Amino acid sequence: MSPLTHFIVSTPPHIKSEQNINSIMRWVCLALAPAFCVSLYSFGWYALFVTAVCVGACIATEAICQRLRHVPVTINDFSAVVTGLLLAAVIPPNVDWWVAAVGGIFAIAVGKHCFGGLGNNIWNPALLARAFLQVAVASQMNSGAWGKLAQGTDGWTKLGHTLHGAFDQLANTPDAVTGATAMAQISRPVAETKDFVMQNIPGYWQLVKDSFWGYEGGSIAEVSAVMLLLGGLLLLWKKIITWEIPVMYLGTVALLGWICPAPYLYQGETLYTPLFSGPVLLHLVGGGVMIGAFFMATDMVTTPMTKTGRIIFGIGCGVITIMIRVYSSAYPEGVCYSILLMNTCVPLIDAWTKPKKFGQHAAASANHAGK
Amino acid sequence: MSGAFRGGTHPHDFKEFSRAAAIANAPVPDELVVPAVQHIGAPAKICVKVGDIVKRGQVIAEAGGFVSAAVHSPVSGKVKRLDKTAHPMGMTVDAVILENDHNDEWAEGLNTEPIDWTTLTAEEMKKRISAAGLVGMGGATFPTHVKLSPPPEKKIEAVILNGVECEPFLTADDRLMRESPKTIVEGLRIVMKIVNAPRGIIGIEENKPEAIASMQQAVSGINDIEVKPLPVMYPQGAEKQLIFACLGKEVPSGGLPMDAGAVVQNVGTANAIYEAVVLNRPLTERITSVTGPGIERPGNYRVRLGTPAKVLLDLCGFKKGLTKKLIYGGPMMGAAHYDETVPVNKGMSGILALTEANEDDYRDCIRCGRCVDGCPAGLIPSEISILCERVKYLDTPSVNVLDCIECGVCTYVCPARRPIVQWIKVAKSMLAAERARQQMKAKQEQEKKAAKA
Repeated sequence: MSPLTHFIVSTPPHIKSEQNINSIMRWVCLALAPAFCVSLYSFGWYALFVTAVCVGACIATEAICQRLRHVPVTINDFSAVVTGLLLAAVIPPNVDWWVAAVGGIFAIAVGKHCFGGLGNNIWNPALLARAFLQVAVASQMNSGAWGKLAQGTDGWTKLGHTLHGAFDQLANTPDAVTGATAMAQISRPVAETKDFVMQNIPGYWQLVKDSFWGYEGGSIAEVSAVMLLLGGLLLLWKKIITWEIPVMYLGTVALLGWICPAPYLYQGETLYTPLFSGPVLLHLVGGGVMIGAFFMATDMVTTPMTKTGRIIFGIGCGVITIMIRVYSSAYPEGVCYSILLMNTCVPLIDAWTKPKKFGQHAAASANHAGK
Repeated sequence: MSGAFRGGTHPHDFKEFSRAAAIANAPVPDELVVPAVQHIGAPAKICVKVGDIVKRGQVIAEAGGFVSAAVHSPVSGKVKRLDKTAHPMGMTVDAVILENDHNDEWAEGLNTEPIDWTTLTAEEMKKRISAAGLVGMGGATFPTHVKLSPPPEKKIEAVILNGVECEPFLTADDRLMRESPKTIVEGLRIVMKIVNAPRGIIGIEENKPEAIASMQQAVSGINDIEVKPLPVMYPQGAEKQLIFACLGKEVPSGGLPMDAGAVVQNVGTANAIYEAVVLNRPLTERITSVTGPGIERPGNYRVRLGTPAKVLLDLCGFKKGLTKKLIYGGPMMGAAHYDETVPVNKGMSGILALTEANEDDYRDCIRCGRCVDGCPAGLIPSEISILCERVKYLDTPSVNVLDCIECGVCTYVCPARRPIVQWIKVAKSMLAAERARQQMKAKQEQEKKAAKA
């Protein structure tokens, strides 16, 4: 190394925190790893292929878009990888490969670069792509299409079932990966009796347990609540994300999920379960709420910048999620739309929750006293 | 993140480099370069000629106004020439180059036996402080006598001594509090008498337990002075944040500490106040930390003002080849400089050699909100940075750019590595230029009208 005769001149500060965009993105990848491991293990090679297509499409699209926009190509920063992983996480493991590719292209091209690239997008790109696929290729995205996995045609899946049995003696169902997700099962179920609560659906506790450990059906990486929780705690511990959104989101889902009377069908009639009887645990571990609360709703770009704003955002996500889950007749799951809708509200929330500048109150009261 | 004030951040404090090194006297070089600008306010006017014989403590540049400070000869010797020298902030300023005769003779009537300051009136003490050329020695270098002259209608509730030293690396104040707590307390009592304050508070961050113990011992038995340990949180030592931590009061936006009933002085300044009032010693030296990973033997030195930094760097084993940045002051607010010969001035609390430049390319704001959470002034730095990036400097007052204290927290925490403070500095100077332009325009129009009439 040649000795410097002059030193670098710049404005302070001359030290910087360790976290930069690259390190944040890498930590998010690492935090997603446990959930992906469980999912790829139980869904098999094809899920890994779908994930790879998503990530690959995202990286390629990012590079092409940046070339077209004449801005530096920043695929090394892992942000496209994160988008790809998050997209893979929320699509079913058995979609055709081109669905995954279209999703990845849409996420980056429309969800991100149409708005000006990282930092400028309004909606979470992965969720935007999922919403797009939900409309564009509904047959591939709805739960009924999961038959081939439930049949256990894949060696890995079979192995997964075997281990599942070893983990849990109660799991005597060889088709643990079923056609209907947990959320679909509590969406307007047909009841045998009149005094029905959601906990009465067949195999409720098994459903909760399976969803928690990751033996339930679902999208690629949203099946194992415990692994997502672990990843989320890692992000909290490393101070990549703050507590407000996950805590308020999960708290609101639990509270409203418990309070709200849910519709069910009894002899062709729509009846409602009593207040304060909702299936809290299933609401927390089932569906996409864990990945939503820790990985989607905490996306920095599309969430409020102030602490108060993030609290409002988390509560809003929780309210919309439960409203869709419990009362929508079309969708059993509402995480994706709740976050997208709240993303839309972010500029408003930011405007409402501007921090008070230091000394503003003192200045106002001094003026008041002066008058 | 919780501290005694809103926001803030936790940089690693890096005090381990130099905290164990006792204050040593730095060698006084054969040639000293004494700048006429060592403070905020009007530059001092050089009042010596080439060839003049000067004694230590003799005025070599007179204060250029009320908000200004005199400069004294740090040694006895001869005026070699009048020249320009580099200032840590990057500009060049007038300087007196002195040839040291190594006799260290004080000028007539200075450096006397200690007097009993309680016999002096507030005015007499203020006069001594002003004559000694004292300025805020924490780095802001605001002339001390101005701070000690609040208008009579402002009642001062407390004098706060700033022993926080929240800048990473620096240990000069820490060592001073450990080694001469008595003179600091005397300085505080002098200030309390001058501004007629009933209370004195010495604020010290909890990462300096020895300094806290030392100051506590020095104030034991003095009822109106309290040592206040403060949580470690940058920028705890920023004036308004310190007042809030000590008194629970916010200085009004755009106001001064006295509006919250406080006068704040750095502990180094308090020590200098003691020396000026009790020993009649003008400011000719200060404590400076020489530290950082580019320094082999980091230490704390009592340095004559005007000593070129190179003298200290060489003394401490400067690894010049490894050093990427040379900083005068601390790493959060200090000035990086291209030149290692900048002379030590009244505000230079440290000389820092960093072996990492930490200058990455910046990216678009990713709206993470870390700067908003961290801003002690309650601003939205990201918003300011985006306006500045789009060259809309004149719109920045709407996002409170003038309330920014330039502490650097936003830029420290920014994962997109955006140079937010730099933009804010540019915005502030653009606004000042615009104000000047408006004033000029108004004046010209008035003249036109007058000419027509």
